[in-house]
Amino acid sequence: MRPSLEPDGDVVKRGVPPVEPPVDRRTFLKGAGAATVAASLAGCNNPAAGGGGNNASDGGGGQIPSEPLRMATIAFTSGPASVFGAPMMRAARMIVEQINDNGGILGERTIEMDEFDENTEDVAQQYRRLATQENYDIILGYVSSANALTVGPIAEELEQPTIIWDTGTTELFDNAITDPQYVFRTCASSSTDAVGAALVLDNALSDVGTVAGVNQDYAYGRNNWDLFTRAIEAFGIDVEVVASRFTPFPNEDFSSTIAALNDSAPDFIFSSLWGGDLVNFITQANDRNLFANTLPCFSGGTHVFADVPDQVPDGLLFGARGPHFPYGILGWNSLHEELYAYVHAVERAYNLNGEYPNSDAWATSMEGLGFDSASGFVDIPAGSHNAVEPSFWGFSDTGGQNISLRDPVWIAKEQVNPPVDKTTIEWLDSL
Amino acid sequence: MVAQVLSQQVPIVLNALFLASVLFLLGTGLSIIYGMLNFLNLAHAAFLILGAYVSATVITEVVSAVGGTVGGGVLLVVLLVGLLVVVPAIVSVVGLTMERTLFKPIYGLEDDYQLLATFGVILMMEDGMKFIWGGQPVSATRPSTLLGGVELFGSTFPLWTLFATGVTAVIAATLYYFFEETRLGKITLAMAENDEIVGVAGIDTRSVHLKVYVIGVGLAGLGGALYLPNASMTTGLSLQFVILAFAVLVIGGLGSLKGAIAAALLIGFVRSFGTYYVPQLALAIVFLLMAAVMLIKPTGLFGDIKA
Repeated sequence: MRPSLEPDGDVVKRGVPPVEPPVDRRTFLKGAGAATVAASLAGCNNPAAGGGGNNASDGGGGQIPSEPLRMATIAFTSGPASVFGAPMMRAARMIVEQINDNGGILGERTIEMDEFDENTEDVAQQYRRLATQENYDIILGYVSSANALTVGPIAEELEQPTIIWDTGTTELFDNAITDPQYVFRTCASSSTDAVGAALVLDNALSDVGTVAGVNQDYAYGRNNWDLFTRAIEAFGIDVEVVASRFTPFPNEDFSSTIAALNDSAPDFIFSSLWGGDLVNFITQANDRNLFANTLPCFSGGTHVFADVPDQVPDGLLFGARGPHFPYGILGWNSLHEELYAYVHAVERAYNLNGEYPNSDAWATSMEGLGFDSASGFVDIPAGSHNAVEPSFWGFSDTGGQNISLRDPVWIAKEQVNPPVDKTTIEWLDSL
Repeated sequence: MVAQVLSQQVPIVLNALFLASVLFLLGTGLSIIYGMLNFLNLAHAAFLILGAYVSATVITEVVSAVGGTVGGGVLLVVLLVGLLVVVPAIVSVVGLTMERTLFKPIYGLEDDYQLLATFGVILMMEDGMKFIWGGQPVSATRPSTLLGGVELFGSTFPLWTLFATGVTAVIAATLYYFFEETRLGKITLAMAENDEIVGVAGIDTRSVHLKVYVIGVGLAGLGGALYLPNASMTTGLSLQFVILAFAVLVIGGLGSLKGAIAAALLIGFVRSFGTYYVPQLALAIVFLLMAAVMLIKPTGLFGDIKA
């Protein structure tokens, strides 16, 4: 029998995260949502929704560039990581088309989108070429944490507006770019996943005594395990870590890793595996009965529900970064947040300043941006360049036509993300 | 105490044998094609991936067509026929088509040109497979599910991997018989020594060449068929298997069946035990083994080419 979650109701709450701001709208708009104030006053919430698109006469009245906005989108469209990249590109195309069908940014400026494969030998060279030789107005993308860490500092050096759309590593704004100006990330960091998992362990799973980890041996997997174990220590969770395994990425054979986990017999496994690695691990672990007495917790794996539904057993714990899971796959969620964040920031700056924003004005407008997206509220706190999102967990439920999350619980974004004046490690060490 | 050791070691040994089986099926094809036909086909590993993708389609279609109307035993038999016969046949046909159109023109070139050209073929095949099956992980484990698991010394182990190991052992024995006892096998070995003299003796060397090539490609396809029910496929895996296939080639020695068997077993055991006990070296350990063999015996364990 699968263990059940018994949330304390204070830190870990039953249900799904609210899609509306957690405070009443008026209070929210007075505070961090100043961007939404501007956007709402100007009536430029969602340009794709129809009727919301502005034209120059609605807002500041300044000249809107007549040439299309040049946007470069970068994601893995081949190789193992295309599990995220391919749907992201499709989502990007769809959203750009919607925006353009409504007249474009501010109802006037259409977007010209070019796609690039992240699967390249030299991501830094590719980024520099796009920024300096091809002069894109905005560069959106990156699935790989390692690639985000590579291009982030280059973007700042070149003063190139860039939005990271999917990578989770907390190193991006904790170490690689400590004083960001032009780089933003519109999804939550791995802190949401790893700290969220530790809080679920502490506040909803009382019977767990031993814990193990299986994570990919690169920036993302290492970062997740580090945060998870630091969170265990920070919250004083009474569990023993009996194994921590890092597997090559990508990896097709987990059999010996599973044998080692079976021998250490943990009650709980924290894993940030994703893509084909996650499918292989689940398949091979299930064949070897690893999950009979061990509850695995996959912090970023809900994409396998759609990719390989036949391989997902019932009753495994899955995490979904942010409130968006009930509204679509990760690729779609990451994309629409990112694209609309860019568009909203431009429109906000235009309506506040009366002129179409340059890179600096756009960056200023992005800070403190908040808006209702199709799948929940997107919140980039004032003073931060990183969106914060709640942590969301549930058991895989294979009973319906599609796999869903059963017995969902969630944790408020403030409890799984550091305050804007602290790095993730500083925050965890201070608890 | 003994039970505890067995419980710990037996799963690692069985994992090693399964991995060795897949590597043998992959590496043998590469080895006989290079050793006997003098064609260095870097793209050979992509036929294993192709076999796995085709297997996924075969499994999905068979289950969809008859899964609801026949019992589990019959379904398993149909699936096994599909995986053991149909999939290698399809991969062989694809391989044969590629041989006639892409590979034949480069047979006479130096090894380094063949390496570059066949590396390009890998990329073409990868993109082709992505075009057909998409970039998402492809998985179809029904044959393994139907066979179920077996309890061994307190550990559950999937019967499919034991079945795959058994099938590979039979194939290894058959290949040994083929090369040692059959006329075609002996001609093949003779061609490895000097195909011109074999041709002067009135033997159609091109025909033998094609047969050996088809056997090699079919074995890689079978490797994919036996591998898929245990794992998922995504594009990009060909390059990983290329490296492992060449490790078999280098460690075992060119064109040696015994070498391929020994190398596959060695790599399987080193990697399985290495991953269990020294996970930090999971990737490096195979190459350390390869480097050690090259230092001690540059021609590989059973190779006889002068270094």
